[in-house]
Amino acid sequence: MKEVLFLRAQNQPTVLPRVFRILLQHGLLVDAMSFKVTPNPEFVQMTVTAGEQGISQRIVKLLQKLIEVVEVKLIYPEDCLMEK
Amino acid sequence: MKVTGAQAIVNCLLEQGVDTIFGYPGGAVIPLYDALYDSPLKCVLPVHEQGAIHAADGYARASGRTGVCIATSGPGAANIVTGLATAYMDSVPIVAITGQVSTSQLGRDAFQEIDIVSVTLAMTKHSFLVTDVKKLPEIIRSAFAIAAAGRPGPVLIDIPSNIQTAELDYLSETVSIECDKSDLSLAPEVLNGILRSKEVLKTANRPVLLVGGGVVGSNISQTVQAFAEKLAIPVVSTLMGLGSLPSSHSQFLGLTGMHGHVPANKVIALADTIIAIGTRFSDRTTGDRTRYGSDKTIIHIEIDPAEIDKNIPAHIPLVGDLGLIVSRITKEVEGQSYSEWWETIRNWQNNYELDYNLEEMTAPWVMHFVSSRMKDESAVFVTDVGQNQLWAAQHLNIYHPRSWLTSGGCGTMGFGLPAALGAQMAVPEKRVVHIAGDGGFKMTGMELFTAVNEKLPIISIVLNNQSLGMVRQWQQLFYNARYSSTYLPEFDFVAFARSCGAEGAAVNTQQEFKLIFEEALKNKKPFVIVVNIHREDMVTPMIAPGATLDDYVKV
Repeated sequence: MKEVLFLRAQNQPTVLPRVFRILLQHGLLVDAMSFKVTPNPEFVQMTVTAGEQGISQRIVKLLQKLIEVVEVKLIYPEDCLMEK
Repeated sequence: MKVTGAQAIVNCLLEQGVDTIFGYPGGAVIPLYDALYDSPLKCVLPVHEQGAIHAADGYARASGRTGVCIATSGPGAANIVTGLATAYMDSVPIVAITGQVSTSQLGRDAFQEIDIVSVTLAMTKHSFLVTDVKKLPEIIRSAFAIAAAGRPGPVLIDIPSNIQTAELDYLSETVSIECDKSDLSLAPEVLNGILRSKEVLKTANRPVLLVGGGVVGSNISQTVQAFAEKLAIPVVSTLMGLGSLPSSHSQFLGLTGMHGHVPANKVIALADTIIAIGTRFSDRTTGDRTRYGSDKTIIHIEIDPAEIDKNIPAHIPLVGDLGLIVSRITKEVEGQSYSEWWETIRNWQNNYELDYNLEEMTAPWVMHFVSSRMKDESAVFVTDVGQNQLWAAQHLNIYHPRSWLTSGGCGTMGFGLPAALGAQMAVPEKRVVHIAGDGGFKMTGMELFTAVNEKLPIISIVLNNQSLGMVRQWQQLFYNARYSSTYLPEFDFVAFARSCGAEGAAVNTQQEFKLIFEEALKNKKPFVIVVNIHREDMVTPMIAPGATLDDYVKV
């Protein structure tokens, strides 16, 4: 099963372009994406799944460097099922 | 106290301890320049915005303080893009303030509107578009904190003109310029990694210490030298790391990489262990990265976690504050001798001596002469990009950190002169020697006029081979000597220098150079020395792109 990128960031208009730039630089073909404001409106969260190549640790590290980003991790859907 | 946004910007700059700014006015920063008119800040007016940002960069590299640059919206902002990229690639702290069209005009393709935040996403550590004047002081303070913290880098603040004229309640803040490291401690995995490194170094037979720009940027040269001396380990440097250890140090073997010194490249090629501090293992440093570390243990000490395993996989990554890690590892390791290894290395060194042609005028001789002549003076060498840069890197002796400034990562031609200008303003007690080729000098050469206006005694050595030498060298070696667009028509640099109000002279012989250099040293004005060299001269040794560090191109 493919990994899912989970990201939480400050609710700023520049968050999306900064994230997209890093995905673009690594030629990531996005399969699916979600974006929403969290119950605390100061933050947003997004999830991304990508094509064949998957999402590398390097992308995670680069996203972690973004000043507005609070948390980034890769989630494996099997783990979620196990947790449930 | 009620002040305008423009006044708040000036107040914040003063709070941060800024004394000099490099900027070019324009429609969208007139309110800011009006506030600067009454301020104690020294405003340097270059000829072009690119000059402003490279000067701010040179100021930052030479002093270690954050450089400040101002440009107007639209073309002004676009003109600093190359400078931001240059600073970003070399991790230089800069705060760039750009004017922007007023908030009511944003997104309407107004006159001189460019969405500079979008344009610079890929070459800034962070950026802000200010839309609420009340947040302006907080944003400027954050920008300075972000630019200097961790791995430094450029931060852009885009400020619409109506934000500069709007009023806010301004509360001043005292800023501690010194970074407080007392609360920093090393993570458990780093402490564990240090203990593993200790074991690796105990059993290593052929270790080498590789120092990068991070050693200079984080001001830990002495800590690194103490570590190297305790271990008695050979030390090599990347292009950006020159000056980390005095080049006269007995353990220092020189520059490694594409145009590195032979012993320095050999020691890397044959090492069984590399301890790398503050380097990102650029392709120009490693050559073929798949073979660079394949038979070695790599201990990578780095502040930026994203650099770990990017180019060269690390067996032991040590991520955190470089000074803290190196101090700790120095305490932990036991003194070694590596006597057999040193015997081999001394053998190479005895068989490899830099040979200077004492009759003909060559760039290596010029560098060698200037280096010897400036040995006892406090000199800062600032280079442009290309053959001149590599000749300087190979043949100048750099004794102190921040006395070697070069555009390493971005390789920005035209960087040299404006960066030299900024450096000379940052460290007026030192003498800045700028080294350029005839191609790069022309790119930003009009900043000579700025240097004249600021009465800066910069010595510019223009190595004139009437060609874009490094590209010409590649064309000769790899493109069947088809010199496509690399021969430059003759240009009278001396007349140009004089028309800017500087001094200038052209030389063809070593004797002439010696005399003119002495004259330039006595001079208080910028002085351009044009050194006419052969068009065919090449930078050697050279590793072919993508080859390993023991695979030299036959020249």
